[in-house]
Amino acid sequence: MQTDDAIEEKRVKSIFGAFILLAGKGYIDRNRFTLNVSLLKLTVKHYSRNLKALKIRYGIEDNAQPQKAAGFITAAIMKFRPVLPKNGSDGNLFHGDENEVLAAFHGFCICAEQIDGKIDLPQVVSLWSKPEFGEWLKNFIYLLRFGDYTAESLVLSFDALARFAK
Amino acid sequence: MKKDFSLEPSNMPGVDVYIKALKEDGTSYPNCSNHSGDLTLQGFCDAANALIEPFGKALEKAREISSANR
Repeated sequence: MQTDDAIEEKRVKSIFGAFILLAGKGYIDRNRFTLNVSLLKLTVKHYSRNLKALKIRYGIEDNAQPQKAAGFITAAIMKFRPVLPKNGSDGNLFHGDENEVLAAFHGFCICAEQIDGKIDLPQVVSLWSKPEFGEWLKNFIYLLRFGDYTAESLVLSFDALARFAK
Repeated sequence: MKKDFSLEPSNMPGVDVYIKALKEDGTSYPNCSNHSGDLTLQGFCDAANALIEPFGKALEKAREISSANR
């Protein structure tokens, strides 16, 4: 089992990696937004502690399932919102979804990691390519931004995707 | 319960049943299954590189729909 330090470092890198990939493809405007160092640290520390509490509560002795990690880190990103506008006076943030996009993409990538062949990556890509996914993603982003949910309820969203991809 | 009953740590009639159940094995909080492997950064990168294109197309559609709904 990995140490807390190793898990936290992996999550800092995976969130940062997701951010630069999304920014590189133009889905997050890096001229307007930045990934804040201190908020990212808070996000990962909060996730790490919640994950430990979850493992104790449910008697998980070794690694938690990817969908649990995905749900909890997504909730932590939404709580601390580490993607910040570079300009504090930016008046066009009402319809912004940068933190939600980062959280959703990052969570889905965690669930898609191939471990023992349990997640079929080409199948996940195929699922994501269906035309209905745009509408679904819009609703998921809306939930993250405006809805009421718990970290554990988000786990179920990721769990459904992981199961359909088998 | 008698009118002159006074609750004390040593005066909780019937609590033994609950304490016995608490200490019993096999009737505890439900456990979840473990995951078989470690999630790796390489696995994450592989997934991210594969998913960015379909995710991006879905995101463009999502943002289009949101914009139309305003």
